[in-house]
Amino acid sequence: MRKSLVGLVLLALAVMGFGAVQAQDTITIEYWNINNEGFGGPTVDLLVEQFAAETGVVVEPRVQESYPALVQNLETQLAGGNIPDVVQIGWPYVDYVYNNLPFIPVSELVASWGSDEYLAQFPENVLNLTNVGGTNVGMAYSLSNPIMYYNADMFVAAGLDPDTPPTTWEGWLEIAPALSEANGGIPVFNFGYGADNWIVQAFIESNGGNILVCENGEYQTGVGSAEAAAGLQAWADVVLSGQSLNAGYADATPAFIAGETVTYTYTIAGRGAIQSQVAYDLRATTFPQFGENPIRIPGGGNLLVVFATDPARQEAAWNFVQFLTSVEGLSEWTRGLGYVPLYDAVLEEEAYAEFIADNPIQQVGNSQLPNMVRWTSFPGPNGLAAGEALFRATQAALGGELPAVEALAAAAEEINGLIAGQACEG
Amino acid sequence: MSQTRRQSLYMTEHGAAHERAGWRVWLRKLTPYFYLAPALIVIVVFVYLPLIRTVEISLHQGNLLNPTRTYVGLDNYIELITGKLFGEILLQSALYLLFAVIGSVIVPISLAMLTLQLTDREVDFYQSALFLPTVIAFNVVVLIWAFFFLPTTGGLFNQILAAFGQPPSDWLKDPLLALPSIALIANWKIMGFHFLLAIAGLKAIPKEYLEAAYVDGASGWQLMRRIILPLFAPTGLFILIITLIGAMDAVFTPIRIMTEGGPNNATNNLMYAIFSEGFRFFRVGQASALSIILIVLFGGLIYWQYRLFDRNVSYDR
Repeated sequence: MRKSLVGLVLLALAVMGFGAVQAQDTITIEYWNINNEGFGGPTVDLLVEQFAAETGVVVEPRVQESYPALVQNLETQLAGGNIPDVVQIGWPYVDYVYNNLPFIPVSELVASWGSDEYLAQFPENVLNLTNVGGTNVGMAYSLSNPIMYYNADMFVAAGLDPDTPPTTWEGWLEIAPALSEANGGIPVFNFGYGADNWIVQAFIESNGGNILVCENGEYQTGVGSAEAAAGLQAWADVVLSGQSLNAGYADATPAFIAGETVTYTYTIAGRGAIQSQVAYDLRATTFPQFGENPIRIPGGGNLLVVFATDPARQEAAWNFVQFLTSVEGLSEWTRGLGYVPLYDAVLEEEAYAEFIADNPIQQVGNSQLPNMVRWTSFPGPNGLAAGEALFRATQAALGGELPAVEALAAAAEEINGLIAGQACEG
Repeated sequence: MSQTRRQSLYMTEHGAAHERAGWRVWLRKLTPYFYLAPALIVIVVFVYLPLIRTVEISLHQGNLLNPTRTYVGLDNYIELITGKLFGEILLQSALYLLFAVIGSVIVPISLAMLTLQLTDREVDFYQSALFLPTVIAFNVVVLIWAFFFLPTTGGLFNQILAAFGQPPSDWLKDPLLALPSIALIANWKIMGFHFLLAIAGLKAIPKEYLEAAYVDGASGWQLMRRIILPLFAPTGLFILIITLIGAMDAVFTPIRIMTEGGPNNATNNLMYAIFSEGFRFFRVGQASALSIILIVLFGGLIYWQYRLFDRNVSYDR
């Protein structure tokens, strides 16, 4: 009896010990992202499961409200000594991360854990997106651009052909009164925006303006130009005349889904979420062209940055980054959300090729790749405050407080004061 | 035993007794400080040391992570005070305090006064109805109001406007409407609690005074002016002070979730500006300087208010 008892205890201890060893061997890494349930959350869960099945590494996603909120929380967590392993950083924060945060450069990750071949599949321009001062801060992951979604049923109600939507701003302005009148007087346009300058950059640069220019070896903002003012004023005019809803993403997206606006200019990355929720014939077209100016739209999305310092976690984090940006990982990602593929091999992947053939809205996003420019962030320690100055000018024009030309002139003065002394080449 | 030996023994015993008495005196003097120590330590560690650190950071330039900060003297203060946004933020803070005093002091006290005419059962009903928003989490409150303020025809307020044949309004994007709209949310949340305080203050007024005055032929206005208002004044002062102290704190969540200080700074205030500088633009030097300015301004305001009312408020009953 006593022997059996001792035997049982020993067996229990052995099982516990084995469990403890197993628990010690399992590596768990944190993955910070902005993919909530309505914006790619299920795809993140799927990818995390696939990675765990392949490698045994447990990835815990930590969802943040937005890119600015993510950087805020990241900074406070890092200050407190809590280091997340892999983080999605929004494109406007690349300079900030490079100058202020303890990231692990890609060159260091490759030197420690290999994978030169992996880097070779990326085109040089994609690798350059994450390059600041000769250092690759992370790996490009999500690349999006703004497209114009529209409600084809409302075109039909107005007696217009939904297969041939306008491609120019002038064309849209021409049909806007008919579209509104035929659909209960609702606003035709809806340019959703967050507390950033993504959409206003599209207006300014597609009108021939520039957010940032290099003059005499120093950065200056170009938002004080006549072209920039024309771009913002075009947006403000439709808002002030009631032809456009003036709303942030939180209100703009449900308004379009509920059929309260005819169009919605929003990221291609929102395609999956919008397609799954609308109860009407959803179509999309390119961002409008203004006059003879070429369409220039900022690339949105994010890059993956590794912060893990512990060697085992760092290796797991780097493997996870490679998994997410592999052909299969990117195919899953772009099909789930709508981001445009980073390299050609993804386009040739079977599942993606089938998907794109049946999805004309995704084709619109992909077709705008040649029109994409870098989402500009202002340089230096006051760069984020400078971005806010431009955002305030946008709001002043949209709210009718000031004409765009005056709002942008004041913003240009403030921004140039904030970024004074920031050297540039060119 | 010799005389010298006796004297020496006496001196030793006396000295020891004297020494013991000295210790007892010291111990008696120190005892209150021992009792106070836990509270003092907490206050020093969590209030005064961070305050001193904030002053130190306000004289430097840098971010949260970089251990090497550059000493810039009073530059952060000068840059803030001479900047064009500071005046706007001060004005908006003052405007917001005005809305807070109306919505969280005058309205709840007036409503409480009106309940003087009601039965206890009716007062209980209003108490519960008005107190309900106080117990709802602030982020839930904001979500509810986000629906009210929807800029489309689907929003509650725009539906009301439509019922009167008016076009929809951009409540949170219109620079004139944004601040009152945000203030309305914060006041709606706080008003019930202040209503409860006001009811408690009114109920504490001895009925005998009112009855005696009534028997002596005092009119309703005289009762209000000579009896109710003077005896209610300490409660009213308390409500006013907690409103002024907590007003900008209360409006922080709606601003953070709904407007981020916009449009074009229209809903920004000193409290949110500190957050923006520190955690949106990562300029902790400017954020700390703004914090010190806020402490000085509010300290002055509360002191002035206290002195003003102290002369006119009677705490005797």
